[in-house]
Amino acid sequence: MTDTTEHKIVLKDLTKIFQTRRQTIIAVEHINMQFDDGDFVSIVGPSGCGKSTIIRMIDDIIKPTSGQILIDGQDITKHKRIPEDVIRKMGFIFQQPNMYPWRTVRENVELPLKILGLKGPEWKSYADELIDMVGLSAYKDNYPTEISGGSLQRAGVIRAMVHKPEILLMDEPFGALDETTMHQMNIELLEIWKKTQKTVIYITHSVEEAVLLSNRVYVMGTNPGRVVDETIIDLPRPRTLEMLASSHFIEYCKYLTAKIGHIDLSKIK
Amino acid sequence: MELTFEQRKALRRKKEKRDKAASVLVPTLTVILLLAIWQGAVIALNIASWQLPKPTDVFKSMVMDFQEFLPHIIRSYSIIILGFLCATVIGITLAAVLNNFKLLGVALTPYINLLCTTPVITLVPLLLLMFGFGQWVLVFAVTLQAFPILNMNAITGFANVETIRMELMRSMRATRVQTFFYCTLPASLPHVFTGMKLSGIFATTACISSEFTGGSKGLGAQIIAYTQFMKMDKAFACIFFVAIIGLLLYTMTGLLESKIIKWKI
Repeated sequence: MTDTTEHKIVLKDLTKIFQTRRQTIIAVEHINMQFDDGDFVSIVGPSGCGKSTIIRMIDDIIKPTSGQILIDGQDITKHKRIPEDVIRKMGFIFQQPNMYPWRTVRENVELPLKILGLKGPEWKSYADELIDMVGLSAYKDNYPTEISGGSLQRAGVIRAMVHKPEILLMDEPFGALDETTMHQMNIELLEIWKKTQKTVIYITHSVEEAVLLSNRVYVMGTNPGRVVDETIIDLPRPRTLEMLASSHFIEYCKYLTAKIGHIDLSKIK
Repeated sequence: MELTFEQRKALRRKKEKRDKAASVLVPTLTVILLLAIWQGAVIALNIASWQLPKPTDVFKSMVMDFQEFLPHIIRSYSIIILGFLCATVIGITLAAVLNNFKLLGVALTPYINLLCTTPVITLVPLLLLMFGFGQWVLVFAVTLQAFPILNMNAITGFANVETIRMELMRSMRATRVQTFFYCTLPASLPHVFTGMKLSGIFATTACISSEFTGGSKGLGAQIIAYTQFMKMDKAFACIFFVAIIGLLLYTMTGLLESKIIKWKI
């Protein structure tokens, strides 16, 4: 590997072991990954491969057992408390909208501003701008129970962007949506990415989604969670839904599906 | 045709109003019915008034002898309300502290559970012996009985906030205080209010049973006194006044709950 400071994010030999009362589970082992500034990289893999664990370690939601996580050259695993400026660089988008039902949509979106102590009208107006951008203006004073799942996930995406992070960490954000809505959200996300130039790390179990969105795809395997392949997706941009039917696109999907692995029937007796 | 959000909301509001009206009307009717049966039974079976008074006699006593009851009502009500308020503050604050400092939680929880399961009436004779028949001793006893049940419920709520909600706080590096007020407390309000409702019931029980043990003040003491003199209408009048404060605490807490948890569908 070349000089690690060139990359936005570098994962070096990252291992996470969960110790439960009954057993030791190696969630991921010896993970090495690099993400460049403005990159869009997906991590695909079957459930249990530890992809969610990786992105949670990057956001310091959980601590790695060993290894390094460098963000702009700064090793965050060294700190007991991750520095404020590093946490502000990242926005996390969950699998569910994860809106707090006791706050209105606007209050939910503005929550990071409150927590991070970002006061002032410029932040408020940026929040409004984002709400406008995803078409939620009419519902911003509604409570989450009053709006649809797709709209809620849009709110979840912009909540992660309201403090102007440089990195978006997305943990299967559209996995719970129906396919039509998912693809629509994919295209919207690409629009947002183009406009804001953020670095995106995108977790998904859908090979199609990964190919449609990414510059590069990491494929992970299970037992223990590890990287089994890294593929550059050389499709032109802007990506469109028409591409889903193109032979090139389908080739990528076939290749990645094969890499994810065959279903191991030997375990079923 | 699909309804807009506004239309759906309006429909829901309408249904809520209807439900609310029914939830007041139906219990009121059953209470009236029960009292009528009681009244009818006393008359029909010719039950002596020292055995069971007629509801009308009880109500008459509640109005006519109100002056006689008033000091006792004030005493008991103030003890119950003060105890309940202390219990609310202590119960929630302690739960927040124990939830944040796990070791302290492990150390203290058994004692709090023990307090909850021990009827405070067993302590009252001791307390009275040590501190006398003052009002504050009873406020202390009521608090002691009422706070653990709220504390237990609040802790259950605080400890069971969905992981993903906590992860959001963690992803923003919220401080403990921020996490508590933005996430933990609002997420567990239903548990807290259940605890408060139970705490109100415990407070009422604790106060009246403490007053049973001695002294001449308070509704509990009056119930004993009137029963001994077979003035059952007056004894029942006092019982009704006790029921009123219990019900009042319960419904006020419920009202506060629906005012605060306005996001609930």
